[in-house]
Amino acid sequence: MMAESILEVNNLTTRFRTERGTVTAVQGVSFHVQRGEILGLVGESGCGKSVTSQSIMRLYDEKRFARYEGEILFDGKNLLTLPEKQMQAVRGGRIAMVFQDSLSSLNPVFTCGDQIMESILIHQKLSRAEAKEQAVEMLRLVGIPDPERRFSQYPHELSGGMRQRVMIACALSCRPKLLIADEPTTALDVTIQAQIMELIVDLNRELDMGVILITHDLSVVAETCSRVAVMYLGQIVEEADVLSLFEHPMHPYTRGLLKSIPSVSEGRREDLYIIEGTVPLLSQIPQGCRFRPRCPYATAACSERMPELEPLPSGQKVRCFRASELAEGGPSHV
Amino acid sequence: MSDQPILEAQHLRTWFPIRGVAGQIVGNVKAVDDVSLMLCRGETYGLVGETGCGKSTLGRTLIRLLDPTDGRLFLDGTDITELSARQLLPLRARMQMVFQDPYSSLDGRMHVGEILMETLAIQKRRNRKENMELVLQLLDQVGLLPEHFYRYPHELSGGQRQRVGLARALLPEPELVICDEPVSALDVSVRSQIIRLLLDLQEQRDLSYLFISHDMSVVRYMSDRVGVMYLGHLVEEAETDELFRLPLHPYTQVLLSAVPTPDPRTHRKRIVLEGELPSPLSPPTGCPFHTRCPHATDRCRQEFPETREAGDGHFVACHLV
Repeated sequence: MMAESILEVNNLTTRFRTERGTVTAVQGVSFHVQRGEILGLVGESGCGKSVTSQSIMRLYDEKRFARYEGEILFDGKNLLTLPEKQMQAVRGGRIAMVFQDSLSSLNPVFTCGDQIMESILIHQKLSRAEAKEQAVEMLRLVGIPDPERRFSQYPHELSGGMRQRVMIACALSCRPKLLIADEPTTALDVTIQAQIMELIVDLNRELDMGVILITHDLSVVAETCSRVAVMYLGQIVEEADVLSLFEHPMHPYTRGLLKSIPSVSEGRREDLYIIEGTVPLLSQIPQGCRFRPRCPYATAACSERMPELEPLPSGQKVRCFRASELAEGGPSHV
Repeated sequence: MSDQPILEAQHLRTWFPIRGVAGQIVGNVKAVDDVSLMLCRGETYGLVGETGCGKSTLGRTLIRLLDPTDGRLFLDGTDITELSARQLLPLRARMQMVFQDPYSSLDGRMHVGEILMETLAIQKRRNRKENMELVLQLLDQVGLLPEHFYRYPHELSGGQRQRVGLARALLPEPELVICDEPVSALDVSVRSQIIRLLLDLQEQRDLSYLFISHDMSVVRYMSDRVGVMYLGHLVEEAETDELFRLPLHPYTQVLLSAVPTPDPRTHRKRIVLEGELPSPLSPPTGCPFHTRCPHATDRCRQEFPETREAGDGHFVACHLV
């Protein structure tokens, strides 16, 4: 693949100072996003996927409780060392974000149109009339019927799916190079989810931007992403193109996750796979491999030191000492 | 599984009146409209549908947490439609509920032990020591440790909280449990633990479940029969395998085609739905689905489709089937 990387995250670590000491929410995360691709960032609650994305935007207050390490290269600049003023131009301008909960992310006292215009006026030198025209155009682009009327409606007058479209219109209004979508469909019904995911995929192609799709839903990843990074407890444990990940998952955690999804086409043929235990607290991160206490293949070596995220001959990257050995054990889906 | 229904609903309606300034009724939100269903002993009945289709309202009405506007309800053959709260009290133990959000359905100021002991205090006359033993036994059965007895809900993880919710529902030794989205708020790895637990408990205690969920794959895995709701109506009902193999109602077909699968190679043809769910305040005339149905005809726009049996135990409300 020769496509150009628009974002490169190298060794990102995000720590928070809390009342009970410092916790490391994201540890040594590295990945890149290419132009025109959709990268899936998956994992369960507390795995650090949202912290990773919000660190890219530097949304946490560095003066008070957050500390970033590593580098985030975007447009040849390290976002982590960029002065706040320039960072503001990046946020919502060249990198935009869509959040899960559209009702609380939109301002209830402004109309949808005003909110789209706001970001256009901040980032582009346009008159109000031009901005309005562009905002209506954005509403049309995201498939909102009757955009002129919707322009002057308030968020509470729209359904969840429509609001999420407005959020996407806001995010895309300045033609960002990178869109970060943080669980954009989690609060929506399946039929609406299908519509919104289709919209994101279409816009990704049309506007040729990179997309980071953050989700806990592996099925959504399978249908939309080209590459996937799986996170567990603040680290990436596996990274692969979507076909390899679903057909030959290498990390025991990825395998477990895939086996825990009940199949829509099969029904209850066999017992659902269970990953034993629960995700530990960030303040109680286990020694060695972080997945060891829940891993059925753990050996003594796993508790001694932490495995690195290493590339396999296939190009897949995995953070597990026994990956190649387990891979020879035959197909992993069964 | 015996054929004696533990619960039966006949033409159940739950309408919420909307009142004008003078208190007069100006309209009704028809959350549940003419739903008949039967739940057999030991069976899991899956109830699916999108937000606002009335599945939770139906679940609550079935165990009289809400009062039906019309229709009849039978628990194990006894008519419970008209029973007063006092008359209902002894029957409450037999039908319990597990809620979606185990955080807001547990009192944050009581520890797990208190929450569970309270259930027993309402139901039974045993002494404290016996109650405590019962609670500890049940904690063990739902996969919690004795030390969780003195924990507060905020100290537990989502999965553990849902286990407490389950323990609370099971303490009165119910025969019927309404599970309203019990695993929707949980992570994948925790979800399968709770699903396994629900199935194990069902086997041990011969429970009947009404399993409400919007997640088709979980419903498929859990249920023996499935009912599909749209705008307050039950539009299709069949045995699980049958429904997923051969969905007859256009809405069921849309719903199934929208479910993403964890396989990047399948690129199924999606039936894309036009428009949005109409308001239950002013439902469309004729078939409730005709405004979004890809196959709607004039007849659908005018005439309400009655539920018919289209195959063995396969019921559907559609003119075109």
